[in-house]
Amino acid sequence: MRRVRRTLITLTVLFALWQLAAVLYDKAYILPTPVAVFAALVSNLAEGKLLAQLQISLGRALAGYLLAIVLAIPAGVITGWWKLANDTLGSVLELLRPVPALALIPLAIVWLGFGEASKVAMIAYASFFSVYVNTQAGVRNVDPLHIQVMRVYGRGTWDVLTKVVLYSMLPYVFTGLRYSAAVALILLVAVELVGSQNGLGFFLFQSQAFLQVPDVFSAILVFGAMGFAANLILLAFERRMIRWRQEVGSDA
Amino acid sequence: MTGEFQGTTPSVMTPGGAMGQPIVEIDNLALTYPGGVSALQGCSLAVQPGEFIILLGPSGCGKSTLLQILSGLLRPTAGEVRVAGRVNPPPGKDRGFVFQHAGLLPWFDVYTNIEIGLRAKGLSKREAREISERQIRLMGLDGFGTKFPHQLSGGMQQRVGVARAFAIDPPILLMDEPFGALDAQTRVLLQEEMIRLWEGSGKTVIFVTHSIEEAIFLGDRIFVMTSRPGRIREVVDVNLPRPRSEKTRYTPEYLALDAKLWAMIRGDAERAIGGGTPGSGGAVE
Repeated sequence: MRRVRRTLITLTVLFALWQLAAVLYDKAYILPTPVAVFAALVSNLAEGKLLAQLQISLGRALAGYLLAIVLAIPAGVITGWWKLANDTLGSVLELLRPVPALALIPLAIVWLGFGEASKVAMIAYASFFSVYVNTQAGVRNVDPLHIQVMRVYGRGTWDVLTKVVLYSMLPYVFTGLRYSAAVALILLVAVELVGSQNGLGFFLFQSQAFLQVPDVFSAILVFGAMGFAANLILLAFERRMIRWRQEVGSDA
Repeated sequence: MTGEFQGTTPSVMTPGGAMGQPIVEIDNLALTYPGGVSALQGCSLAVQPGEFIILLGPSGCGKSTLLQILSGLLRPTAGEVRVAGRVNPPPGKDRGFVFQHAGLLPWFDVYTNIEIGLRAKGLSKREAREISERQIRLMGLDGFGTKFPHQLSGGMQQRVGVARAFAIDPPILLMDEPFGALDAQTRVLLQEEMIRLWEGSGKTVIFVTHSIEEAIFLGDRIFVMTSRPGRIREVVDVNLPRPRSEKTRYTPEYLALDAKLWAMIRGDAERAIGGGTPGSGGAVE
């Protein structure tokens, strides 16, 4: 509670300073006042054009992100568990990982065109790695005692994977998911700034071209809200799914 | 069944004195870890059905390794174990295992933890639940079935570990310092509970500990092991009457055994802490 209060006070002070600076500087086409920015945000939202773009962007980001998860978790489990998979598939992925995803955008456009496919593919590609790497780390950090328990009570590899590994890797997976959500957002902006005809990034690009700086700010704020919301949703999801390690002494 | 008993192992007398077919035999067992550490060397023993056997020895003497081989988790590098005649058997429902730190899966509630071995036996969800319900009552865990391990005390967690082993109703129980991580009072209470559960059950127990008191209080025979690489150094019969209770701990026979065993393993214990040079004997007393 105290933290929330302090945060609000800090923000109020910052906005006041911004307002003061903008008024003194007096060049609204470079630095609009926060009041003007919020006015632009509200009117853009009210007119619906921001929401329409947001919907398009959200669709792309989610499609790419979910595609990444669906591929990365199994890949992380398989390479984390089986040495053969790690020496083959895992090695290839390790070599791809250091390549900056942004450098691949031109190639994606050449191969997949300017449509949705290249955008979703780029978001998926970039989001893949941190889910993959963290899942793999989770699998490798399974407590050997828990595996012994399953083995000594006659359970096979499938049961070890589904009843031990799957659970114990979850905290790692969520770390990867939250990191990847941020990466997905970065890629979303990038692919929408480069050769897109719609979406929030396109709106941002267009507003800049027409020197509508308050609109630029409103798009940035919406992007920020997306990232913030994604993190909150994932944290809530994580707390729900990992009930077993909740606060010590929650029950006494 | 491999039948013939070799006679290379220590004397095999049941508590009743009759010579019988051992249920567990360990024959010239050796285990060397991949790094070259020799945990066991020339280790032999035989256990009669229904016996409560203690493996007593200093830390790192290979007694837990021995238990892991018996459970089928590890394979020996030489020699063999025979469980009911089967040579180096894989893990199976004829042996229950109790781990030192309970070994509960933190993401499963008490019911599910107890049922781990039952589902492997092919029981239905409902049959398994009936058995775990009964075990929960036996272990005094009523009302805790839906709790998660982190909501239980250390002593209760280990009771769940014991319940999990008893749930599959195995003829053999392998227990790896099950009470070693508990505080002294809880430990004594769980030892008494263990006696209560075991007496009359007919189960064979192989119980690893480094506590002399625990060994005497629980065991029929104590196999004293040497320090690494471990083998059986001596077999001590515990001729204390059963049923045993708290009073057992104050009998002269109990105290005499305590002194005898301590004299036996003191040297190893001293070496383990890096002290006890020859000639300095008794300095700690």
